[in-house]
Amino acid sequence: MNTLRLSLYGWLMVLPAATLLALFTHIPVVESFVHSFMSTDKPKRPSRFVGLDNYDSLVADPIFWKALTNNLIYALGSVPLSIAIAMMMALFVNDKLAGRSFLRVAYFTPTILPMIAVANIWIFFFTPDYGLLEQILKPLGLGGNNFLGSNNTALLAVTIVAIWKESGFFMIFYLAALQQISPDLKEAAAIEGAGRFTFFRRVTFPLLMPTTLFVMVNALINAFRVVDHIFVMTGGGPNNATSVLLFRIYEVGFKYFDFGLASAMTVVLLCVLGLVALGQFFALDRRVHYQ
Amino acid sequence: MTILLGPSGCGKSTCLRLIAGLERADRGTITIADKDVTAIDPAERGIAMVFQSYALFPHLTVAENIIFGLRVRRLPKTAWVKKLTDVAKLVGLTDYLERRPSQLSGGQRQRVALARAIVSEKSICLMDEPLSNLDAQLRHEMRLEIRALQQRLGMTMIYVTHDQTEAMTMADRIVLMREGKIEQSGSPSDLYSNPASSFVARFIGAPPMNVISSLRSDQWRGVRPEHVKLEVLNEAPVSEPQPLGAEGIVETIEYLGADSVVTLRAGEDRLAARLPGLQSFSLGQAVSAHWIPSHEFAFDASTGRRILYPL
Repeated sequence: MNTLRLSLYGWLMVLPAATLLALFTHIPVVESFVHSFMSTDKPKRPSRFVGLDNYDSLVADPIFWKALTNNLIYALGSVPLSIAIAMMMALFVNDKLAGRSFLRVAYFTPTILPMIAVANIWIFFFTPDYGLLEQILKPLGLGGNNFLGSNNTALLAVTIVAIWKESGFFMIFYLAALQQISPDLKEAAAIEGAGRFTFFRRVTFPLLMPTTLFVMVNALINAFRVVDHIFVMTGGGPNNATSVLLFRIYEVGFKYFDFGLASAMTVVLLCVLGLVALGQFFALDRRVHYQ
Repeated sequence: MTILLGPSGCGKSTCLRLIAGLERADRGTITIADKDVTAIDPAERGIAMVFQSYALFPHLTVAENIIFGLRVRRLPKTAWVKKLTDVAKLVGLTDYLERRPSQLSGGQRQRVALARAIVSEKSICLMDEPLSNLDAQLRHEMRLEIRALQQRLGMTMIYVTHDQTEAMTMADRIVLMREGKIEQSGSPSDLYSNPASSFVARFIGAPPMNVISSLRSDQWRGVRPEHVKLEVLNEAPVSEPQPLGAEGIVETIEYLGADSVVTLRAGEDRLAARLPGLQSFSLGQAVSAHWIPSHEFAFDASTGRRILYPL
């Protein structure tokens, strides 16, 4: 009786959060999964079960493959770099130096800006002829670039924006982790003859591993999730050079209203993210020391 | 084995950190074995150090912690395997080599820190309050162990503590510090029987030496509680206090088992007497205290320095 009441009490406590989570996360996931096996609802032809038809047309769609490849390049380019830069910035502003607080704020600023604002700033940087980068490159004889308009550089350009925006955010996690490391360790290592680099490699870096794992999972998920700047800066162009999965899902779903195909792509995206997270936890967990 | 002793904030840890090279000296020189090391890196000073917090690397096993320095110096495995087994045996950690520091007790962590210092085979080992995080029982054991190790390995140890019992029991030489200056330096028995000032006299020994200010205006007189004898006063108090004695009433009695500490109030002064066994005095009783002349110390009332031949 008592345990029944207790468990009822517990369930009631988690009910509000569980309802919201179910309503906006779990049910849509299941719905997408179901829809991916259905044809798209049209006025004359109601939705019906089509099996793997949507997946077949997905496999046959070159733009889907282009978006998937782009997304992988975008993730592999932005994740390691933003993590490395975040770690370096954190190490730098963790040391005693003049203007430390100012630097910390400066490094963190990109994070508090909305992605749309960030995109606008970088559009100016990348603008042909009179953009900031052009103004720097022109006197060096390297002018005449159209970073966002060229097939070769557009993906690189949006990747750079992501790195710029994410690094400051991840730096905060590294900074918090660094301040958990006792200064005695550095002194003990110094007495044992470990230089700055050895200390970093043998002590700081391993002690930061839990943070790195956390940041890496978040960075990878963000690489598939935060694509606002692509809408503003390139609209997926030129010629789908910057189209990534989520952008392509939006296009197929809400521009061409092919919900079946969009659902199939959503399932693929979810599988990719799930695999990424699983892989990271299993591959890295053994190498991570939790205190 | 030199022990830097003093109350907290007297600069003993700073002094140790200066020797280690973790703090930079504003002026003066630091010399180790006739070599000026003032501007030299900690690693090249030929010292090992045990920190108060032990400073163990939490992500490394006990074995990896111990050989950290050897691996930093790129010693081949063949060179350190034997050292590791020897030192682990020496400090009794053989069964714990694969554990991480978080799986060890305080005393075991202390041993790891000690092993790391020993294995480096440096000639000087610096220790910064290494026992202050241990409980009383363990502290006593480790005190004996560290002293025995130091004797066996013939290491020079510079050891910082604020605990006079640690200093008295372990040291060959005690350097008693006060407000950044050396108050007195010498063997434990030297500091106990020949204190250079009233500060030293009161810092060494428990309970501290009685310092009586009311006998003379320009001098303080000191006598150790264990040298004070008490007698019950049956008659009315003598009007003139004797030079080697005082009268007062019993204020507190602390029974410690083997002996008791009886505290008197004598005018403005408090006077403790350490007497054997259980004492039958009662609180508020009038007693006279006396001691023999050779047990009395005289200190200058303005400087606190010892007066060797008081008038």
